[in-house]
Amino acid sequence: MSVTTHIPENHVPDHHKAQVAQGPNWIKWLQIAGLVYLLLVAVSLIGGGFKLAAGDQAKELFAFASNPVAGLVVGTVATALIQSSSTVTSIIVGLVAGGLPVGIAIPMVMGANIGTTITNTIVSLGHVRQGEEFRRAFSAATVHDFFNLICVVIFLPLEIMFGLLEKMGAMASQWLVGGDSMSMNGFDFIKPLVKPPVKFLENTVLGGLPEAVTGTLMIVLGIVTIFMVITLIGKLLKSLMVGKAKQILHSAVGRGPVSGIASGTVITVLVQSSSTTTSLVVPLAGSGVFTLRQIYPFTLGANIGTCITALLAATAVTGANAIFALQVALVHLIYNVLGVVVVYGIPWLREIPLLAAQRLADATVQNKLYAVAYIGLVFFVVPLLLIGGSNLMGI
Amino acid sequence: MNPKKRELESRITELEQALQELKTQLSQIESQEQHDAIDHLDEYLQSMDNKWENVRSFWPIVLAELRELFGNKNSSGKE
Repeated sequence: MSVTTHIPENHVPDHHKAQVAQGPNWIKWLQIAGLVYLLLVAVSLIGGGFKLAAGDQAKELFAFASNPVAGLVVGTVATALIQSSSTVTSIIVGLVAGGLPVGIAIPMVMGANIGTTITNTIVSLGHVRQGEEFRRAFSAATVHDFFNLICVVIFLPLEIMFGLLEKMGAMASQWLVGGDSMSMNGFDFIKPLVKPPVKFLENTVLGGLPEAVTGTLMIVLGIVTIFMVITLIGKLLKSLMVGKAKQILHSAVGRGPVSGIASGTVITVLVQSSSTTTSLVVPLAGSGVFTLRQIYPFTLGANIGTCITALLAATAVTGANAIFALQVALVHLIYNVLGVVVVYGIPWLREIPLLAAQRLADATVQNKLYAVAYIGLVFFVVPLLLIGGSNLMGI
Repeated sequence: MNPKKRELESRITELEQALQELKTQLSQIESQEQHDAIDHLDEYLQSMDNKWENVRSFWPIVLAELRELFGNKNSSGKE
């Protein structure tokens, strides 16, 4: 018996033709360098602003978020509204620099992971008029959500009971900057770069105002600047890195899940946005060319790659709280790496996000109200109910 | 050896080889499709910038399904 099948003549793929090095776009790279500098200044502004506004009372100021569920909800809702986990984690690093305890910041970082998944879910809604395509696109978007929800279900109780991530982050940060020092001397080269504009704002532009007002204005300015800077960096990097992203994706085709995780990580580092990476796979899966199982590891890499922004932001922090800022940025990284190792590493756990995403997509194709209910419940209603419930239970 | 058995074994080997060949061909086609899809990444990036358009196109469908849901309930209530 012989089987013959016609195979289209192999042609040289476009990506090989397109892999001609593009000329460097110096203006855009200079703009990015300037924006990264502004990001560091903005983080420093938030830290300095909190020190001015709250002094030693910063901890009391954040007492409302000392409930870990409240911290989780703040992180989730803030990220879902801003649609950028990098922005929220950078702000959190700035807040830690200003005195926010690391223990309160950790659930916020976990929440940022959940909140950021709303973006690719919205992107998947664009396929709504194509039944089967929508089912695939929606499941590709929500597999990331379910993965992040499972991570929180596993690691938040461990954090509450044993302070697991806080301890691991402390060990990693002390190992990085030297256990005998709390002043992060190794990062002091950033200080002369970011301090002059911060001091100029504090003493000249906002000078003469009461300290609390100056501090508050610095915080607001820092948050607005981080938001704008990360949005602009994302736009510039998207246009600069699309060729590189294609190259990485081409090289990952047919290579298995570890390669998928690695390529998702690298692309997210290059574009500085996990939602860009996770949204890119939605049309790829929607068209049916990539299966849900193939794009799943890629979205996990996005979780790891996005940690680079908070680590970068942490380098801007100087002084006694610098090590805590680095600690929370490292906690973000450790949490996401552990999440991949544990949830993706254990076969039966790995299947849960896939099954949940498929079931939800099947139901949503039948009735679109499921999508509305899902987004409303996961990102807004359940978080608020959780706050109420945990307050009632006195957690 | 029983000739019938030998013939069956030979046919199974042939079929297995043919199956393997088909799987390889399918895998090549799938890889090619994936490479072609990746070449359109720029378009996907652009469509991401219009994500609120997605919500706008999604909303009328949700409203229609809501109307259908409550419309059906109302009409069945009248009956």
